[in-house]
Amino acid sequence: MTDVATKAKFKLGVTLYSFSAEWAAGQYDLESMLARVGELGIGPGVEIMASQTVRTYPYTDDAFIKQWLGLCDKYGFEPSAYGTNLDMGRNRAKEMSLDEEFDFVLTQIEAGAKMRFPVIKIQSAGSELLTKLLPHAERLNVKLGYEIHAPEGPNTPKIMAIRETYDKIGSPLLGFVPDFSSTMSNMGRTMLQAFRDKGLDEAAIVKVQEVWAKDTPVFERIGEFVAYLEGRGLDPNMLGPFGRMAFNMNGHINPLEWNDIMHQIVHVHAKFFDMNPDGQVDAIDYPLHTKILVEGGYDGYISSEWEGHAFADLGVMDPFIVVKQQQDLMKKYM
Amino acid sequence: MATHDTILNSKSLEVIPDGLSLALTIPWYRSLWVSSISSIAVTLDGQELAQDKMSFRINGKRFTLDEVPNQWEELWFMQDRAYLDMHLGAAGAVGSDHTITFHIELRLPYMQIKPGFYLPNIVHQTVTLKVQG
Repeated sequence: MTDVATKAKFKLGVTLYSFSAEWAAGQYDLESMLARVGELGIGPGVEIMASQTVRTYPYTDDAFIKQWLGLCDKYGFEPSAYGTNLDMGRNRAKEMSLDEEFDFVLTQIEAGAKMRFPVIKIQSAGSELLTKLLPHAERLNVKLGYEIHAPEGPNTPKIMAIRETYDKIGSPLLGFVPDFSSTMSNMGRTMLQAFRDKGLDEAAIVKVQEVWAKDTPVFERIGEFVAYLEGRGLDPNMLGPFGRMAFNMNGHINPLEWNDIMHQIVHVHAKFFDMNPDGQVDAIDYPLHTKILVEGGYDGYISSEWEGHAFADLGVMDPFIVVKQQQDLMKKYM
Repeated sequence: MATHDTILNSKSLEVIPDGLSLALTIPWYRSLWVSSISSIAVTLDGQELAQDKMSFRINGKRFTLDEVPNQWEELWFMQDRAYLDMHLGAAGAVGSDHTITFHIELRLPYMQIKPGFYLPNIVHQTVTLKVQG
């Protein structure tokens, strides 16, 4: 059935963050990575993170910008979003002043604009910093997007405070970047496998999912699971950072809440960890998420973001192949 | 090992003129300032190495472990290896096996919990590695 009125206005793409492990291992340089993405027909949007891809971070030199634009032309990619960071604590002796924060972020925004990214992902949405940055976003014609990632959601207190700041400033250039990690149906199989690999038995696997599904704040749920492990004589440190990540990186907010900020969505991270044998994404309702964005009239890019590398060893899965499968799935619902 | 806890691989152990060196992959998903390293501790074949028997080498520069947390303008680019040099008094033997426990604590400078406090990442690995030729 083709219903023209509900046809997707957005475009697909990928963030090179999906290939973090291969990048860190030195299996690819920027050109060979983009070539592989192009060969598989993934795209057309491409997103990068300054702190991951740019050797001269937070600065970007003309040679890199020229290389980036040349590769986009060569492979037919469209720059979608440029991820910036604010390393306010890099100097242990003295945290950044507001002016230093401004300089650190602005240099990344300027570079992103030169690299023809329409959206710059920002990591801090403090009112003073935004007010200083906004005239530059206007001058450079870029939108600024704050990512909403698990454990946050469109209506959690932290995000509500940013929505209020946005309302006060009142600029169409300020928006959000939903990440599907906020709105998962259950804990991902990849994460549960990581727990098993760390030595958790099936009773603990059942328990972690039961605690995860509760509506209590994240820190309480982490505390409850830690208490359970200790009660069984197990050392919570056996899980390394995964114990905390289980709750921080997998949220269970209702996906329909994305509608509450639909008019402010400037970019999207289609997060996933694994594909199921039936062709669906594990633990995230893709038909529903895609439908919400189609019906909401979202018209930016959706970056596929495979984050299985946070739990799975290098080489266990080929992230390029699973991104291709995930994009093919989304196309069915567009 | 995943992006959050990969630091060593099977090819990491190398010879230096006065000992052995470990080629390190950054245990995080982005480049970090060298100052993001809070501490490093290494046990080699059951012996914990004194801090002054180790140095940290990156971007053609060498730092004592005391100096590492202050290097806030030195970037550890994600694709580069940093080296933890272990000064043992004599060059290591190519082909020999060593059991290494590597402990590193990171302070993520962009993940502020509250002013002055940042999310840590702690990686603790015990591996047996063959000295590469």
